[in-house]
Amino acid sequence: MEIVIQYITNALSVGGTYALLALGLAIIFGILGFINFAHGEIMTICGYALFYALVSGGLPFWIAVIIGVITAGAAAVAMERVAFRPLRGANPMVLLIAGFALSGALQTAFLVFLGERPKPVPMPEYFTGAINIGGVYIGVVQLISIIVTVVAVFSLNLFLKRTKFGISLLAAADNFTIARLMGIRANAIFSGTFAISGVLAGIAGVLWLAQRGSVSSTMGFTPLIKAFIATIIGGMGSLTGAVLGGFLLGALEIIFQIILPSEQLIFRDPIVLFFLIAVLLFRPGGLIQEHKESIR
Amino acid sequence: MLTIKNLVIRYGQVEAVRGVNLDVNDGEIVCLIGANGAGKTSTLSAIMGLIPMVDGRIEFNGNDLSGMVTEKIVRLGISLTPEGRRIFPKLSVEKNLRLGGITIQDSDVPPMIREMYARFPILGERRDQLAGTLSGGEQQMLAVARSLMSKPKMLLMDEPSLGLAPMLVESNFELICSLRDEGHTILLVEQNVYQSLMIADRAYIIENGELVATGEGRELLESDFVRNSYLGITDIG
Repeated sequence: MEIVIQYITNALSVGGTYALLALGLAIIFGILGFINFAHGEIMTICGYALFYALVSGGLPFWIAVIIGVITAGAAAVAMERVAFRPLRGANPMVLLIAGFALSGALQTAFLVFLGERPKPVPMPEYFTGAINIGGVYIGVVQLISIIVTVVAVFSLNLFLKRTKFGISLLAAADNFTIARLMGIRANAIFSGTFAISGVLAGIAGVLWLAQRGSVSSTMGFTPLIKAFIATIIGGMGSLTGAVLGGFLLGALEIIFQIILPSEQLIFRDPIVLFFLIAVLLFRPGGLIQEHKESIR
Repeated sequence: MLTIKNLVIRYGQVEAVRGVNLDVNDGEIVCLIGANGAGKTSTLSAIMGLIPMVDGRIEFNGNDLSGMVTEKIVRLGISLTPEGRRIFPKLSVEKNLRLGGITIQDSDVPPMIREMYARFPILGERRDQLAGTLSGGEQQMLAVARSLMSKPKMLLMDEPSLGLAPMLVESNFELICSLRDEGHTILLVEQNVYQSLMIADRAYIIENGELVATGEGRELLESDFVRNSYLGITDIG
């Protein structure tokens, strides 16, 4: 019984991280209509910021986390300004390729300026511990992960539905042109969306590092793929779908991690993907199908 | 208030609007009438900065609108009620109105919303309902209310009567009349020739991108040209 609860917490914490990653991608796709392939690099930037704040700056952990997340948000806004704004209105394929290019450029820049050796990010001592909840031991990292994910998703939801700016983002997602006819500034929508995406990527980055340990120039690649898979399964353009997709992906990974005998563990990822392809065969539009027309 | 000179709009090789001249003065209802594809919506889109003009000059209260971004044009005081209502279906009635008022002071928004509910009680009844679940007539009211939220100096209305049941068409034109009587300035684009000319102070008739007639509403309504070509009335003998 205890083991089952631990498996479930694992699945929820991994799934939660994937959900946050997917949300970051989904929010850009849902509101602005294109995929940001440099999304993983925002995580990496957060990781490096965290590393330098902790190791070079000697700052307390949670201060470093805040710096990391803010840096991620700022980096995302800068990304939009520099790489995507000049291409605004171009066809989504062009923007996709711009994302690839940006991703490659950033990875190379990290390699050249920050070195090729993975930098271990020191996590607080208590992260390795476990807490006794109702007689069951649950890992601290997993618990924090789950709580952070829930709070983040909940806050985003409140922000989008209750604040003036959030509502204008929802309007822009529905019909960008009509939103502009209300006087909502296009630049504000783009910057704001990227800022939110960046903050989500930053938070996910911290959680990822807490579970995995070190920053390197290519750190962002795997998370990006997971995020992409989660958004496709969840239904592109749907924020709820992204969260569901993330949790489903996490759950499947943990399930197969447990079921498979150790010699076959290398087949875990292909098997998970096989299952997801099956999902797509029955629901090609993803779990939550949104009919989205990208109107700029 | 609005002056359009020699407007030319091209979509690729096709000239959708060729050299249109149009004026709207304070407190008037001016109608731009024409069949489908005549160039009416293109003209409105050009005024709002949604599409580029190949040639021509659009001036609003002394401001040159060429090259201005839509968001800025809106803040100069022009509000467009687009073709097909285009309310935000997944947001509530109240949120739609809130968005309409996004350019005014935050403190002015609640009283403006109350004013809209006073003018359109049904919207008040349905304030928390998703806009997409409203009937066509109710969505039309919401679209107009949303446009009024920004306290515009001029209203552009693109075919507001399109798709409405006949009784609602009538009340729609009555609404436009009362807006004018309250002091609003309106540029109304329509296919419904008879009703538009009945309420218009002045009107322009456009065919294939060119203006073919202009004058006072009643005058045009009684002209042979309109009676023959647009109202299908032929005087025999």
